[in-house]
Amino acid sequence: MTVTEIGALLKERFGEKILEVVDDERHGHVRVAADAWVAVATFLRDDPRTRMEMCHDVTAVDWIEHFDVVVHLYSLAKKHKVALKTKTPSRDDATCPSLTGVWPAADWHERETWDLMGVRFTGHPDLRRILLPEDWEGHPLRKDEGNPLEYHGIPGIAAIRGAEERLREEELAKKKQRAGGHPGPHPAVGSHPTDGVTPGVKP
Amino acid sequence: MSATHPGSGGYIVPTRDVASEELVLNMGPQHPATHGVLRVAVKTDGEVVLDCEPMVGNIHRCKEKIAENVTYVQFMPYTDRLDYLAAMNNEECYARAAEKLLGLKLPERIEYLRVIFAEAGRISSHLMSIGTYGLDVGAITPFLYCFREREEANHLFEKISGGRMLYHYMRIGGVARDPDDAWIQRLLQFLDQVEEKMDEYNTLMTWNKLFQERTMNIGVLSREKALAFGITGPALRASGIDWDCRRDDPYGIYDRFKWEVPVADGKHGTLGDCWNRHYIRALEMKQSISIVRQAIDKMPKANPDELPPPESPHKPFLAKGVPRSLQAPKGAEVYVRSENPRGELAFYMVSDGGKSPYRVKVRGPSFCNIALLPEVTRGYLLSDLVAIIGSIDIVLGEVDR
Repeated sequence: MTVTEIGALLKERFGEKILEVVDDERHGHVRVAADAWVAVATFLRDDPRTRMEMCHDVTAVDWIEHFDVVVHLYSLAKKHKVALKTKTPSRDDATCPSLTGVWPAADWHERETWDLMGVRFTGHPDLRRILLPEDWEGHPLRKDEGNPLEYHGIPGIAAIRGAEERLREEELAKKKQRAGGHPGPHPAVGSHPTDGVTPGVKP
Repeated sequence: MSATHPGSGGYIVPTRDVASEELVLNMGPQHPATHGVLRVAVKTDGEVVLDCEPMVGNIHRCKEKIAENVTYVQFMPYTDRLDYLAAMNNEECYARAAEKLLGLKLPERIEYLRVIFAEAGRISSHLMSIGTYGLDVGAITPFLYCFREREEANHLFEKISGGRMLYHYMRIGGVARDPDDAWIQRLLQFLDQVEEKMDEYNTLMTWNKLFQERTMNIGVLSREKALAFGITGPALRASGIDWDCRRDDPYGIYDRFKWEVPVADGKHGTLGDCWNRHYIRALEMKQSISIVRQAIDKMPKANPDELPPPESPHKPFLAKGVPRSLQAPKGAEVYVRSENPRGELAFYMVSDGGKSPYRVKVRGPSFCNIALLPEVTRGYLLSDLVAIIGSIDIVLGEVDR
């Protein structure tokens, strides 16, 4: 079945909950309302016409105002595929119903998405960090997430670069002094985000 | 817990009547049998595994974030570091994903080179998995023999790309270098050598009574579980599911070759046990050899109109009209998968019209396959855990990304 046919089947069954069907050559997908997310997935798995046995991947994309949760499904018996998409209510309320009850494969993928993107899957039995340490703050794949300054005494790349820059400036100032000129303040001095941070020392 | 537990293999296992205590053991992260920096927390009752949990992320470096900060071309070497034992296959999948996103068409010769290198990479990777699997269950000799063959593969790849492990050979819209006839002849010799030696390894390992005792009926993965957990690759076919993405959802030019997909039938051992997973790999290598031979036979010469020779030996061998600065259309997205030695690798890429991707998601097959570990180890002996991890065949670079 093509994505259009699967979309038509879903529209017939779920009506307005199916927001958009895109049968693109690159990436065919069906956009679903969040409240019908689990029902649509269960239908696709169980219906003899679709039989999506394999949940290949669950992930999310950060679109600043909201997150898109994307699931890629395959049917080995029918040899067709479809991607499902849904929106989280907003950036602050980044929640989405969990698919672990439909496919156990979604478990680790959702944990990874929570860990790296910060999308909270409601109904997930064990939503913990998976790749990052448990005491890590923030979700690195969000677009507004910067480089951390340090973690347990390990300096981050920003702190290392800041320290290197300060050393370079000091060298430059010394050279200028030796040459007899006035070094003058460097435009970056005092405005660098890592000022006052010494690598390896907790602030 | 009973004395006749399926995994006990006839040994006396502690029963509930015997005063015993649950003990949590940590296997790894520095353990030779975990194939990298994997830590498995094992809850044991005597010798029996009650439950276990793989703890991943020790070598996580957030490659997906790196991809958002580099250009399409610059991300290619990072894909080598995903499944570092099959770097050619990762590159091939990423190159195909990027080409689909950017809307590039490939000349025939490049398509054939992609297949030749991906299948040669699979042979090299399976030699490694078969060799180290012998090591896992206590056979040191096959490991040394497999590495002798793999050494020749490393030489071949080194000659063409300069790298012995991380090649950076595939480029978006082409490859790094065009192999000459001498190289192709050496590759054919290598294939003959592997084909001959594989029979020896099967006698030495696969049909060896001691090896079969260690691996048959151990870590049985049922058909239903394999599907529900999204298992792919040799582990899926060892559970009796006839699915190979190269044949059933063909990409590139795989539909032009004739080969068989090896699927376990349960004649030996139990369907979906460790031995079957090992045997499928051994059979797959023969099929890969056949695909490479067919591809070399059919490969056309480069047509200078669509595939001009590079201006200097330092320039890559690219199709005509591949822009120097790559920019995908705004809002374009692709999900491209390929059959890697360890399962289906997939790249999900989203573009916002810039010079670097807006989002790249890597679906690593090892990541999905290792999630299943607790399901297949419960009730087996602790020493079987090593055999099961080895048969699932994970690479931690891909699990942690």
